[in-house]
Amino acid sequence: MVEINSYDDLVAAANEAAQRFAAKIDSAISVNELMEIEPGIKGKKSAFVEFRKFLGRLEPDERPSAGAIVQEIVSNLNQAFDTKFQALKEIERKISLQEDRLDLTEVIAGLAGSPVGMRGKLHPVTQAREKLEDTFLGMGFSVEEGPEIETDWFNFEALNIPPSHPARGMWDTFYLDIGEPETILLRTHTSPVQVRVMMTQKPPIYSVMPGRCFRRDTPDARHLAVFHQIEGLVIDKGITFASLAGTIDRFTTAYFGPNIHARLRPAYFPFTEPSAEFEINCTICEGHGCRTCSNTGWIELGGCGMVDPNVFLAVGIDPEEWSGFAFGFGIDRLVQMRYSLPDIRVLIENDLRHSMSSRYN
Amino acid sequence: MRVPLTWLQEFTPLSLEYEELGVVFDSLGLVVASITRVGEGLDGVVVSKVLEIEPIKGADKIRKVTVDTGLGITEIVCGANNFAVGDFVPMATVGAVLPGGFEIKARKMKGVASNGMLCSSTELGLGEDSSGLMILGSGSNGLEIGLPIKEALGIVNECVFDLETEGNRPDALSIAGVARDVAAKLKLPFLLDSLPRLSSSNDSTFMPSVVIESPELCSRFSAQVLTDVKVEASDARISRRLIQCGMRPINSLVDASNYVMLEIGQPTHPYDFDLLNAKTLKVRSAWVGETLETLDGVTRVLGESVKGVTDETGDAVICDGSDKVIGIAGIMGGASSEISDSTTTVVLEAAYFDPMAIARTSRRIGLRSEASQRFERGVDPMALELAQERYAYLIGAKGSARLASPVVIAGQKKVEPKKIRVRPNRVNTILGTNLSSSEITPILNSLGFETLGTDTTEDFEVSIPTFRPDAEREIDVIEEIARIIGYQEISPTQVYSPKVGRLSAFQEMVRKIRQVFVGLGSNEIWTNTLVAPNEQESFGVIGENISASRPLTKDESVLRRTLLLGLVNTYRKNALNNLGEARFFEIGHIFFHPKDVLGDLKLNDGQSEQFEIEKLRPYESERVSSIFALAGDDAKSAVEALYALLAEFSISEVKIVPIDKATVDQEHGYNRSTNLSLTEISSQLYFGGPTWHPMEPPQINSTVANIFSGGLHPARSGFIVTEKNEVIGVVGEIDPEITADFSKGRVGYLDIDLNGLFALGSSPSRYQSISRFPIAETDLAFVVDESVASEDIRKAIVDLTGEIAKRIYLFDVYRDASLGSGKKSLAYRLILSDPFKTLTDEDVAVIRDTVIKGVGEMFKASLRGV
Repeated sequence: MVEINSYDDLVAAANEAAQRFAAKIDSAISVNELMEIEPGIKGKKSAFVEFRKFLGRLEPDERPSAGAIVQEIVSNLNQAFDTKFQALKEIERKISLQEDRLDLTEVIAGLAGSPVGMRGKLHPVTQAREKLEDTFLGMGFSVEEGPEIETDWFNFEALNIPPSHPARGMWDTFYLDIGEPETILLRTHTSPVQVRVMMTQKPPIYSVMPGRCFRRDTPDARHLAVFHQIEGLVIDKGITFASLAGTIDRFTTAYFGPNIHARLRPAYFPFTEPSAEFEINCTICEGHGCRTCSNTGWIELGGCGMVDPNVFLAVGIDPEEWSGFAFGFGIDRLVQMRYSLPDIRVLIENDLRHSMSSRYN
Repeated sequence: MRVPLTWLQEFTPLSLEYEELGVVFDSLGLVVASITRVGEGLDGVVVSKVLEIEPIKGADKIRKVTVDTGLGITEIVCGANNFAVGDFVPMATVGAVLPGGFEIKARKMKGVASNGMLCSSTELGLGEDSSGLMILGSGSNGLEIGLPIKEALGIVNECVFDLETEGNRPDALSIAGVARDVAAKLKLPFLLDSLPRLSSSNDSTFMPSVVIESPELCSRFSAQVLTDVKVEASDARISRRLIQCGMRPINSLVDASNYVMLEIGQPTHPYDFDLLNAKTLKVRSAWVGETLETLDGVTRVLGESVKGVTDETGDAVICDGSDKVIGIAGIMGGASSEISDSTTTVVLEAAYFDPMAIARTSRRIGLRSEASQRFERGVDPMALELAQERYAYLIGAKGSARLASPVVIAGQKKVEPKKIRVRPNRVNTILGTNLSSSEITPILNSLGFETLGTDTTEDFEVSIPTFRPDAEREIDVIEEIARIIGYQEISPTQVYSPKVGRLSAFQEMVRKIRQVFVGLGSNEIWTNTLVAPNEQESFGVIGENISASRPLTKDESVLRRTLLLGLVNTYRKNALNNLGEARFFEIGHIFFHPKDVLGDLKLNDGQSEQFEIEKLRPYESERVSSIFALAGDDAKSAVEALYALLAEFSISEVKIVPIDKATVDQEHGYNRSTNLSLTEISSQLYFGGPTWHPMEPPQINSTVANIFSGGLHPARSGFIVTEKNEVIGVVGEIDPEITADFSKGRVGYLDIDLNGLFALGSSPSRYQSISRFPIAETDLAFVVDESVASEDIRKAIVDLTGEIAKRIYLFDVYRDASLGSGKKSLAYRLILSDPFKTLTDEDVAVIRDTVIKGVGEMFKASLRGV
């Protein structure tokens, strides 16, 4: 370092140091390199500390001017240093993030694109069942369940279907080899749950009964011998056929959406009178007509009707005081419709390739 | 029931388009399954003659055919090869639109112009044969070239509705019955009374004798004789209609009987009068073992009961004066008295048979006929006379027979119509309508229900016509009113539940359980409740089978006692698709044979006596089971899942008892572990009491206690036991032998009774304040015998530590020869907290000493490293 003896020397030395450090800052290409320069600018032993010390040896009238010059140089350098530091740090952070790169598509996606093992799926029938339950819960209904093995009385007799009644032909029944022949059976519908509810609860009753049922039908693309059903039962004062029609329509709209409505047409069931089949607008074409609904715009969903007075008498409810309606339909069939399943038997295959891609809305 | 429109129009003046009529049928509950339009699409189809057939170069499936169409000679490319030069075949000319909407256009194939199409019977909607062209003849039978095909074949335009009629509507199994409904709906006249008939003759030469021996099987029985009959082919209209209704024309005598049945719903049966002994027709109950060869050539054994069918009354049979059976009443006639070409005198039987008797016999001998279907549902007992007179007209009016006797009737002279009181107020209460009696009565009258007013009230009496046996009560009449008004015409109203819709606590729990398993990566499945007979035993799950009486297949004939089977089979199936690494769960019912339950099922206190019948019903339990077969899964995965499940419901009070250390308590049905230093366990297998179950949870026979542990790895599985020593499930690993054929890996298994779990976690816990003072932590490692269960030591530490124990858990297991043979080291972490003060080192030291001493004494445990 040149010896400083005068104001001019000081200014010259300061300028020279300023240029030297500015060049170093400028040429630094890493934070580390920059940090090596730092003591020379900001350190206790830096030249600029010396320059400041020398100020005291100048004439008093020279001091403000020289001080200002040194101060400006230091300030400029610090600013240049800090700017460069931030810039290098940012560059290095970016480089380091780049080096940290992860190809997200390398993550093992699991079989058939599904995160197997991370989260399972509910069976489509359960998804539909829960959604049905929720819809009815929203309408103020309770959910009732019952046994899958039933006695002939609960499954048939209490429902106005005495032994040898021709209507028994409507249900091919699995009887069990227990007790007297044809006394114990696998329930053919969830209607016996209605009987249980009527026997154990006092009206008003607003309930749905979902559950597994059994019919001795050879399975085909549209039928399963073991299947699921949901039924509904409303008993109150002043319940009419008109309220049945209104409730079915309200449920249909609530469940399928505002464009889907229901209509009733006469039918026969031993446990309801008057009885009806209910049809809904085809959910595929919303009633315009398509292949699914054979261009009719309507799809048959289930059966319903006013509870037959004989059923009320069997469970000890006065049919003159109370009236009510019941309805029911297959959950599996609903799922088949929803997914456009060509063959309903897919539902019991439990093939992961299906269940992983199923989405019930 | 198939209904040709022109036939229907004989009973009511219909002028609707067929599409509109279809809607009317639907609205009446006569659902239209299909509509067939005969003769549609035949305009522009003419008779043509094949003049020449030539091959086409470069084509082996089609040929060039030159035909004479009557208007000229033209060339057509044709793919059929069942015809020859000179044949007369139907040709669709250019511009014709065939049934199904196919339009014929002129076109070119392989450079050959084709100006029309030669047709098969299928293409014309005239038959089922699509194997080749419809050959009309080969010239000699008077066919005129160029004649429209409809004219040439005498085809009459017809629209046939195939209606699905409900089982309670016997009247709708006839043209007249359908017409009555339609006429009522459309407010048109119903013309049954103007149907031509031929009524009784006073000739007594041929007077038949009719006898009812079993009035419980037949309440009315009639016969009438026609002589000088000509057995010939029926006229075209009758044959056509029979075919359109799905029946086969046979001869004029038989066809007329079938025609009457289709027309008015009353089956009749013609016998060759000369073949009957003593001119007598008799109804009686069949003798046991009696046989008859029916018209279809099968020999039927009568009078025998079949398992499961209550034999209240016998089979009704028709016999002659010598008591020889000549027909199975209401189902099918016998071959011996069949009408033949040599028949000259015929006796027609028309009867009312008991519907239940016909249904029973039909089911017992496995034979259904058009007649039996009608009798089963209940025909009109007062229609016998009409059927006889109508038959006489069809045969006799054209001189093909001479009526030779009056209609002779045995049994009830008249069946009085039932009278029912109908309250318009009740009608409106049920339907939600506002109808007056003056609006209701015309509706009922139009259906044949006569109404009689009363002086005092709006109420009136209704006389139920005998052709409507389904209408027995006021409510049935109300349905008729609704049907004719139209369900669509009843304006929907809304009812609102006065209740709050909510799931029961149990149902909420089940939903949470599903989410826990789904969160653990388990896929929900549902498998068949019916399984193969020995399959469960092959899994080591013993017990008494509950079998279906008549299963569809042997593989689905026994009720499941475990969900394990379905889960493993699903796992196997997916593994064979290379999707074996997965977890599956199922929530469902399992069933126990009464023989496997100790004692009789008992009703819960306060249950209605009507549930007595329930004692017959096998007990069922609702469970959740899951298998864990991801890579790396084993019993630990199942135990972790158990803890996840318990954490969801904040349940801590269960323990796991190794299944091979649980011995069976003969008295109580479950197990106690003599190896455990716990107080005596007198557990019973727990079957929860579902809300719907009116039974007390039963105890299960000890010998089948392994219903739950069967199929599991004996040294890597345990019972899940509550503080009350009830077994609510199992957790562990599946016996490797079960999965050995498709998987080498370990498979975890968890199975819990939902009601058992519910009993533990259903009541909400109460707030417990959290200590403001810091926690203290200390570790203790004990060396014990391998036989000591880790959980027992943990429980002991909890007890010894007392109230300040916040969390005590096993954090390390160590095995090493240096510990001594048959020994293991179990390290526990004690997290301690006192609600009122900071625990000092001295406090902790006192606790350590207590635990070390206590555990040391109870389990012969020594502190490791001491």
